[in-house]
Amino acid sequence: MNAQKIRVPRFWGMHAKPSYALSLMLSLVLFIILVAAYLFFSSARNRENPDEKLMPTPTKMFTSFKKVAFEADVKTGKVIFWNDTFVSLRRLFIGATIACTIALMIGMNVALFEGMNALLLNFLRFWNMIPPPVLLPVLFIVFGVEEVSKIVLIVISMAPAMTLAMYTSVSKIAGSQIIRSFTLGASQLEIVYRIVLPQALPHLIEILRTSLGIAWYSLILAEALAASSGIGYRIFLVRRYLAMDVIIPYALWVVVLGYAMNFVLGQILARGFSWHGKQEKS
Amino acid sequence: MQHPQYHILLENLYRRFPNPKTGLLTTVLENVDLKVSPGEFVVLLGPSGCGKSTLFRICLGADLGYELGVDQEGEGKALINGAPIQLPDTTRGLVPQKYPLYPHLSVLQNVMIGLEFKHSMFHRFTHHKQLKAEAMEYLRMVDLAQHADKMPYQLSGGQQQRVAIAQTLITSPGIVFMDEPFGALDASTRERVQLFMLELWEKQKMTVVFVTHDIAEAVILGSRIVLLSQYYTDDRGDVDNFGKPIQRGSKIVRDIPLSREVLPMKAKGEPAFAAMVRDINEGAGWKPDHRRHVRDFDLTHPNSFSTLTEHEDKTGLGNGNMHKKRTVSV
Repeated sequence: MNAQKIRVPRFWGMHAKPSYALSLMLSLVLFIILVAAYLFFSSARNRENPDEKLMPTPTKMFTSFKKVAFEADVKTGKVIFWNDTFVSLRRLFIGATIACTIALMIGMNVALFEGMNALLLNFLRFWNMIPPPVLLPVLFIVFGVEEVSKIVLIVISMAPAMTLAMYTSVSKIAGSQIIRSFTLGASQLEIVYRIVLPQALPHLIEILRTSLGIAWYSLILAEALAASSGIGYRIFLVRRYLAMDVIIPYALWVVVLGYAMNFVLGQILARGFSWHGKQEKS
Repeated sequence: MQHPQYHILLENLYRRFPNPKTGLLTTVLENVDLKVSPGEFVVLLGPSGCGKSTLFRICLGADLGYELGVDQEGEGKALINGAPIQLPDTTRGLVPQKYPLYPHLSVLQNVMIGLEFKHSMFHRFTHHKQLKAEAMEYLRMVDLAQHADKMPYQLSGGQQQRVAIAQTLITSPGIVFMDEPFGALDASTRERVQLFMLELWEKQKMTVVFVTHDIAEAVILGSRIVLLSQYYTDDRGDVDNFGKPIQRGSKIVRDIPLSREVLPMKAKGEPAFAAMVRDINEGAGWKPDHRRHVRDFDLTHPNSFSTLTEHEDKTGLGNGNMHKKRTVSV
């Protein structure tokens, strides 16, 4: 036997193949460092000054969190934390739904119909270049400071980029299939709704996943500037009292919500569109 | 509908594209003449970049930018089934090179969709079983009935192409266009699908236009080989009045019938087969350094013809190897 043993590095270099256990450990390292560093500095500062605001201990954070998450507010009778979550998620959901509808409809039109392409494409590129916060004052003036202006901000933050991404995706789908569909006797409507739309939906979900960051960003921005409830409103409200014991749990909560949304969308993609992305296999 | 004598009739067909850099026109197809009778298996062969796909797209109705030259008998023609080329429709089927199926539909749905497009929504609903049975019939024909409920990505490349053939045939197109359909398959799968295609053609007697750049495949499949090539010479010489090399578009430089004895797969090892492949490979028009004059093209198929302009043929004698001789001027 002349079996040669080749040493594959564990961590360094392009050939490295970390074992499963090592990968798991590596992925946790930075989180552990972050938590440990926080605990270290937090306890040091708290020992020096019992009224420390900037780095509250986990106990303090937990106490404050319990207060906002489990006790009803005296003025409104609602539990602040869950009310904020509900209000923010509703804004996010409505905004994202509208943005998805726009992206799907306009993206498909621009990709499939040359006339629509000529009409809309440059206009879309123009919109895509406007930073949405620039329009925020206009939105407040036009739509007031209530719900509408926040939802509109989310929509105009998400829609142009999503529409352009949708246009690119649908163009790729359509490329070879349109002529072929005509030779099979499809009408234009059938091509749009039976051939292209079902294939465009998984792309829409992927694009939505990448756009969630922008959605949250514009939501928090709008709530920070003008609102009476919501996650962004709360964070910017308690910022005045340097209440990091509320801000940090809220920030973590946003991360949890983001992860959950991403997970749900991923599951929809994997279960509802199992064929998606696999046609490359020959 | 009357039965036209020719399924495809192209005469004096030109296609020019503007060069994106210079804005000048590049001629891709130059004075192409082609007649295809019903039931022929035409293999369109050509070196890469000769404009096979362009000619193919023109016949399908996907490219309407072609021009027709004018001669003594009037304008040229571009007819499918006796009528000017229409936008893509069910009279012409298409089997593409890659990813031929709709990925979101099952194999059976992929085959059935042609029938569904044909009928009204109501009819689809009331006759669902009947349509399904007919689609299964076609799947059986391509030996894939057992895979009816799979998704396309679960099939191999060869199986996918066979489903695509069933999908195309179910709408009973008069002409089936195939664009290097087996180009992405491995050698053994390819042979099997080729054999399958031949059997199907003999059973169904449809007109096939099959594009390929593989000479062996052309000789196995075709009842007629049409060689489209930019490698030829004519009376315009090699340079124009300003000393610039003349850029010629592709023409049909060779158009030959294939005797059926050479064809079957088992004959692949036989000398006649090898000789045919060698003949095309080393013949004029396949490689850049082996060119023939327009008057000497090997156009021996009964349907072949060639119209030459005064510039191409100053003698006016026309092509000597052709069944129908004619000289024209633009």
